[in-house]
Order: sequence, then C-alpha cells, then structure tokens
Amino acid sequence: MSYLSAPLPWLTAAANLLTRQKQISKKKIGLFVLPRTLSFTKEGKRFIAILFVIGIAAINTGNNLLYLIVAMMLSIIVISGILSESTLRGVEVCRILPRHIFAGTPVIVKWNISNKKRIFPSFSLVIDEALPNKLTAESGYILKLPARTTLAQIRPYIFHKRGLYKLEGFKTKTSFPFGFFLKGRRLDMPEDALVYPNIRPTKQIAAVKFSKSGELPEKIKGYGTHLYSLRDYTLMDDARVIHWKSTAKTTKLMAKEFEQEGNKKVKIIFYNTLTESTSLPANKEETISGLKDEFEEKVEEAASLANYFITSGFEVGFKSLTTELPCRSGKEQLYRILRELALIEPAAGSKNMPLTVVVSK
Amino acid sequence: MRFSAYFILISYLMAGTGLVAVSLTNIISPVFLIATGILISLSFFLSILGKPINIQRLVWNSLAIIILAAGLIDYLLISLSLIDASVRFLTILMVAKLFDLKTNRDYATLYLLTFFQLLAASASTVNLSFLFALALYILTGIWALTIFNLKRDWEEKSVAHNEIAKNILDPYFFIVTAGLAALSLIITLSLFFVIPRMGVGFFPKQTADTIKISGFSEKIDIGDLGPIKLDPSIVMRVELSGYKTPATSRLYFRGISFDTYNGAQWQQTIKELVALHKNSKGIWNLKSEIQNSNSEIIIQTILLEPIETNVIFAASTGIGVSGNFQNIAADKMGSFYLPAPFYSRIEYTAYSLLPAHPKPILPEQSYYKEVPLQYLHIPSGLDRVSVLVKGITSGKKTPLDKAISIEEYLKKNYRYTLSPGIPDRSIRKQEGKNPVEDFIFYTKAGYCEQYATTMAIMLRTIGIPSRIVTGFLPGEWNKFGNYFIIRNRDAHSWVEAYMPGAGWTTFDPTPSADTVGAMPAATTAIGLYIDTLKWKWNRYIVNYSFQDQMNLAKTVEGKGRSMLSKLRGSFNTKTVASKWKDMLLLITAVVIAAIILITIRSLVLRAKGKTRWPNTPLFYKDMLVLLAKKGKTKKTGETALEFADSVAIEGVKAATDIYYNIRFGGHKPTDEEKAQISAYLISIRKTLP
Repeated sequence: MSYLSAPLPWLTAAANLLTRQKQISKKKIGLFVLPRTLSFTKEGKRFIAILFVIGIAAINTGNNLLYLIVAMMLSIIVISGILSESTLRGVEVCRILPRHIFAGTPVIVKWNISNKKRIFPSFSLVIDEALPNKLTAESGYILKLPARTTLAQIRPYIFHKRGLYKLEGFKTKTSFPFGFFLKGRRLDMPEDALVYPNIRPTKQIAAVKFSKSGELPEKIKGYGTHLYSLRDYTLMDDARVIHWKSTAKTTKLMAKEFEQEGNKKVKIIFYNTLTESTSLPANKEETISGLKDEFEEKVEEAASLANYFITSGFEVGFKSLTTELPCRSGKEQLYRILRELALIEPAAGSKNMPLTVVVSK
Repeated sequence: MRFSAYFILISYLMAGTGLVAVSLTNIISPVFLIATGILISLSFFLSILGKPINIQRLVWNSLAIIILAAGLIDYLLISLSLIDASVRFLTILMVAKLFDLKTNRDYATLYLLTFFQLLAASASTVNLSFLFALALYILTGIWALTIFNLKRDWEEKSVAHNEIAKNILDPYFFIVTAGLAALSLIITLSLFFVIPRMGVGFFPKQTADTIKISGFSEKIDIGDLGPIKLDPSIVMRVELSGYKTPATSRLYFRGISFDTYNGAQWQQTIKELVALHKNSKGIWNLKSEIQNSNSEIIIQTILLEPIETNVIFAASTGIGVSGNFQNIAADKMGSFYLPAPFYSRIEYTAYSLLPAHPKPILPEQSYYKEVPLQYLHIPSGLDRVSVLVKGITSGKKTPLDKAISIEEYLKKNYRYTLSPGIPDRSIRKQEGKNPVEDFIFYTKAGYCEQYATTMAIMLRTIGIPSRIVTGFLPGEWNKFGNYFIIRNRDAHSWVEAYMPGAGWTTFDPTPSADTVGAMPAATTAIGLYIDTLKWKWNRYIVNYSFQDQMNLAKTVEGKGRSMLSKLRGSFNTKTVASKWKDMLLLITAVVIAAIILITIRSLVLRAKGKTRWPNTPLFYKDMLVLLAKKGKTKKTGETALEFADSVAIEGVKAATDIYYNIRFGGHKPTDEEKAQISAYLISIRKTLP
C-alpha cells in the first residue's frame, strides 16, 4: 500500500482538485436565495429611467396628470410582474437522458415541458439547463404552452468532461409580456449523469501497446464467433457453416472456419497514479493543469483501448490501482470498464509506477 | 388575418391613440389634425398592402434633422412654448416614422413617440377626455407591446410564423389583453392616490380656455351683465360640505360690491385691499367676521374655471378661504382677491356665514356714522324716485321694514326681461332722465342689474346705506354629484343694505327666474352624469393635493381605528346579534391571519428549496395501501406510531421505525434495511387475511 502515501503535498492537492471537480455538488439553496431572479433588459432600463424623469417632473410641477402617467408606468411594472409570474408558475420540465453518454460527443436529450396550470397558458418561455459551465446544452424556447399540456423538445447536449454530473435542474426565464424585465425561476430536477471518457480511434495505439507488452495473441482455429478462414465444404460439415457469398463467387460450396474464442483475452492495466514521471514546471498551477491533462489523456486512452478490443471480439479485463474487473466480452463489459474509467481518480503512486496504460494478455 | 397585418394594425392603433392624446390639447389645429390623419391612413394602407415607401436611411436622417429644425424654429420664433412646439414636433416625427417602419427598432421608436405624445397631452390639458385617452393608450399599449415582445423573441429563436399566428391571433388573447388593460387602469388609479405628494408646485400651466365674464372689475356699466345672462358656460361647481340636497337654495355667491353710482355706472371707490393672514388650519380669514359671528358656518368646495378676474367667490358672507394660494387679499366690503387673474382651474374652500334673519330695530343717533358716505351718495335728478319711495315706505318705521317694502314693491310691479327697453324704444313716447328713472317709470322691465341699482338708489333716497353686489346664484343642483353647477347665465346682481344691529343685509328685488318663466331648460340626466364625472375628475384627479392625501390617510386611519375599537368593545355590546357579528369578524380576521402566515411559511420553505420534512418514503405508502386493502386504514390525525400500535403486527412496527428514521432522522436506508423492508411487506401480505 506504499503507493497510497503521497510523495509530495502538491500531488495530493492536484488529486483533491480533480476529485472535487468530478463531484459537482448541488448548490445549497438557502433562505437568502430568492425564488425568482429579476434583471432589467435594455428597454427595461430605459423604461425605469423615463419613469424617474417623469416622477421628478411630476413632483416639480405638481401636475397630477403627470402623477397619473407615473402611476400608469408603475402599473405596467405590476402587470408585468403578474404576467411573468403567471408564465413561470406551474411549468415543469422533465429530462430524459440517453443510456450512455460520452464526453465531448453530442447526445440527444428529450425534454418534457408541462404547464400544470389549470387556466393560464405560459408565453415566451426560455428554458436552460442549470449547469452551463460543465456542459453545453441548447436553450429551449416555447412561444405558448397552453394550460394542462405537455410539449416534448429534443435538445442536443455536449458533456465536456467525463465524470458524474449532478444535474440540478432548469432555469426558466421569460421577458413576457413587455420585454422590460427578464424574470427567472429555478426548477429543481436533480439527476445524475455518468459521462464516459471520450473514445478515439485506437488501432495504432493498440499496436504500440502490444509491441510493448508482448505479441498479439495468435489466431487459432476453434469454435468461436469470429471468422478465421474459408475452405471447401465437406460432407462432414454442418450446413450452417456454408459461406454463401463465397460459394456464389466460386461456384462451389465453401465453408467458414472460426477462431478459437478463449484465446482472445487482454487486460488493460491503468496505473492511475501521479508520480515524478511528469516533468515539474516551476508554476504550481501549471503543474496541476498539466497533470490533469495527462491523466485525462490516459483515461481516454484506456477507454479507447477497451472499446477497440471489445469491438474486435476480445474478452477484456480492466485493472487499476483501485479496482479490477475480470475479463469478459461484449458491450456490457465495455460499459462496465467505461463506468470505472468515468469515475476513476488519481491515486498516489511511487517512482516504480508511473501514470501509464498497459495492455497485457 | 396574417400576422404582419395584425402587427401593423395594432401598431397603427397605438399611433392613433397618440394622435387622439395630442388632439385633446387644442395645440394642433383641426387642419393639422386632419392632414395628419390622412397621412397616417395612407401610410397604414400602404403597409397593409405590403407596398411601403422605401426611404433611404440618408433621406430619413435628413428628414429627421429638418423636422427637428422646424421644431426648434417653432419653439424659438413661432409658438415660444416648449409644450406647443413639442406636440407638433412629435406628431410630425410620428407621421414620418410611420412611413419608415422596417425593423423592430423602428416600431420601438414609434411606441416611444406615442408615449411622449401622451406625456405632452398630460402637460397641456386637464380635460376629462385625457382619462379616456389614457385608458385607450393602456389598452393599445399593452396589446402592442406584448405582441411586439413576442415577435422579437420568436424572431430571435426562429419560430415559424404560422405557429405564431396559430398561437397568438385568437380572440382569447385580445380578451385577456383587454382584461389586463382594465386591471392596469385600476392599479393606475389606486397608485395615483397613494404616490406621495410633496405639497409643492403652484398653479400648473394654463390648461383651459379663459371664460369671458363681466361685472367683476372696478366699474360696472348698467347692462354689462346682460350678454352673459345667455351664456351657458360653466363658471364654477360648488359642493357644500354636509349638504346632500340643495337645502340652501337661496345662497348668493358673492363676488364684488360697488359703493358709488354716478347715474350710469357703478364704481368701487373704497378699494383698499388688506392682505389676509393664514391661520394654523391654513385658512386666510377675516378675523373680525368670525369673532362677531354666531351664525352657522357653511363650508364650500369650489372648483372655479379660469375667468377674467382675480376675484374669488364665497357664499353669502365669506369669512375665510383656503387653498393652494400664495396669498389672498380682501377689501373692506368683504370680497376676496387673488394677486392676479388665474389661467387654470382652481379649487379652493370657502367658509361663509349663513345669513341670519335680521330683526327690525329702530336706528340710533350714531347709525349713519358707522358707514362711509359713499353708501349714501345719490346722483342728481332722482326727485321723482324719492317721492315714490316715500310713498312706498310710508308707515314703515324701521330701516328693515322700509327695505323689505321696497324689495316687495319691485318684485311685484316690474317685469323680468333680458332686453329691457330696447324693443320698445321705437314706440315709447317718453324716457327717464336716467336709467333708474327710466326703469321705474317707463320701461318697468329689466334684469337683476336694473332691479338692484334701483333698489340701492331708492334705499339711499331714504337714508339707508346700500351697495350693489355682483356674483352668482347657485345655479343647477346636480343630484348625481351633490353639487351646484353655476354657469355664466347664473350671474346676478343684488343689494346689500346696512341695517342697524344686523350690519350688511342682503336684499334681492329681482323676481326669481323660475317665477317669471325665464328659467332655462334643465340639463338632462346624462348631461348631469357627465358633468359629475368631470367634477370628480377635476376634484379628485386634477386637483388632488397633498392635503387631500393627508385627509385620505386620516380617513383610512380613522376607519381602521373605529373598526379596531369596535372589535375591542364587541364583548361589551348589549345585543346578541351584534356579538355574533363581531365574533364572526374576529374569526374571519384570525382565519385571514392564519392564511397569510401559512402562505409566508410555505414561501420561506420553497425558498429553502425543500419542505419541512422529506416526502413520505414510497415503501411506507405501499404498506399503508396494503394495510388499507386488508381493512386497516390509518385514520386522519393518527400518528404513524399510534397506527402501528393499533395494527399490532411486528413487521409494521419495524417498518414504521425505519420510516421514522428516514423521514425525520435524515437516515439513508442501507441495503440490509431495504431487504428487511421488502421482507416486512411480504410478511404483512401473508399475515393478514
């Protein structure tokens, strides 16, 4: 367990920082957080400025009709408040996330937007996901949402980084009715989204990894599922092995031979450690940033390798300093590995174990 | 309807409202107004047909500069009035803008221009029509701004236009808009009364045409009042405090009095003015009158139109005036004066003594020394009149009896007409030496001036000091608003004679108009109702003041206190019915307070983003449903623990413990506990039949 001890304090700091950023905690909503946000639009600022000027003129002249206009402008503010509140109230948004999300890859998310009010429709509603810095999600806009109806909208999301996203909810806002004020309301819709690391093309990486760790596993004829070779059909063969395409080409019956399944096994070993293997820049922040980038690169590399081998029909296992998954084949295994990689954090290591990804038999 | 046509229509409606607003000001001439209307219509049809005139930006900017220059010339050289020049400038600019409506910014500019037009109207008129223009502006404004804002939003978000038409252009949207406009108007009026007034600001700019009037200057020719007796223009409206019916119909709204008659003209020779002092209640009062008075005081709220005099009116014997004035002066004959004629409607409160019935008293030796000699001066050539007066008053001992006998004589023997003598001049063979003699002996017909002059002179011939007074009769009683409408035609002249022991006493020798059939037709009910609206508009909106606001606050405070004290004393009241009534009030108050508290609490909890406790765990709900199916229903008001005890099943008790821990202890169930809960539910299902 020696690798668990931190060799340098700043490594611990980097690890903490990375850890904290992966867990995006729900912001606590306290007593002093208003249930609505309100800001002035450009027109709203002008409106208020005119209101002040007329108010001063009314006081100076004592002209009651100017007071009447001031009162009218104030009533417009009141009406605006009532209508914008009516628009925001009773609106609920429910999101349906796809099963698998990859960092940096656009995904389609469905929003079900409902107006639970009995009578009043909602107008000109802008809806945003309430986590703008960590993901890119297009705003939704609804011109009119009649009472007691639900509309579905498809919005593309891009999660920029892997990890567990604690989605908080939505921000709804409207400038209805007059465009003087932008009133917002927060809709709580907490949901966890696990984002897998990005997967890159990996053929070359895989070849390099194998050259370092040993030879590629030999293909041996057997009873697997992947094609090994074609040969002439014999009467001893099962009719199901006939390769009809080749038969058509050669005008004689050809049979398929399969690879031996058990032989296609690899294990991806991820030394998720931060050690002196990384050169140390003078600036601490740059150091942390550099480490972070390097770590993320390795995570993506591991994910890409896992994807490559799984899609190539291998049984793939995964091992890191903190977890181990036995070798299995199929998409489910890939997702198991990706889940681990989505949440993997740097662990403190030693000189003997630099940050690296190794593929072994 | 296409959306673009709909949007153009409402934008032009708003422009039309702006034009209506400025048309109330009387600043723009009818020709200008018609020309503007034609141009707006032309622009509207071009826009609707989709054939707008394409004005290059450079041309438009040049045009705007030319309009601005014209506005400046108007202000500096022609009208010399910023408001007048602004109204014309804004109207021309608006019309020009209507021909250049392309972008959203153009529409926003148009709306802003219409708003400034409304603003200009507010500074130039006090007409009741302004309220209707304001209401119309609120309706069109809310409608246009809402559609404009939606249009801008959907253009930003690239929403298809057919979707807009489908969603917005329905009658429901307009009905809601109209409802909102009504709500906005109510809020506007409510806010108007509560916006703090600073008590500053003197007379606003001239906001109404000055009414031509005569008889209220230093001199009055006999016949001056004649022409205005046919004029129905309203001069003032008078509300009597505490009077809901015209009970005091023989009131005389006194303006100015004249002491010297030269045979053809009355003059004011006693014209020394005294500046009055304001007392602690804000009343400029004639102290001597108040001190000497034991009569009833009548308070009048008077809304006076701008007239060509600085005299202000008060009923009968005015003893004080209050209002938004810098200072007030009074002459020795009891008339009140402003420093200068006023050019806008003014509202003030006058305090007067109701005339008491004088007692006939024989004069003492010093009687004549109490009054200036001007009140006894008579022109020469009235010998025949003196002889007649002695005949009329023979047998009458006191000055009062003599005055009454003259008054009666004139009322009975002379005819009321607004064209005295003139039609008969061609057939008349003789004329008097002076107007008085002519009236008494030849024409024998006239109106108030002839009657009053004749009586005043007749009184003087027998040594009774007298003067004539010009002012107004109460006019028409408006039963809807409970006030008098006083018109120019109600101008009147009467006599004041100095009576021993009673002072100056009013006599009116003119036969009343109704008895002589000279009463004009009464205003229709609709006319009276409209006038009531005008009265209320002027009384409560145009002339609403800091003092009114104070009074309103005091009234509200007083009502609140009386309600509270009524509530406090509810248990001391004698009748059972009122006790119940008060009890009901108390319960209602408690319920309202509870609702307010609960609402505040739920708002606070919502702000916290959570309810007080987390929601009931699903397994507990399932368990309750399961038990209910088996006939064990949890009663309302029963706690979970009590229910578990009553059911007496081990699994229920254990599950209830976990439920308490989760819901109120913030505990998160472990996998083991989850498994236990499942087991409990299965066992409950099996245990119960």
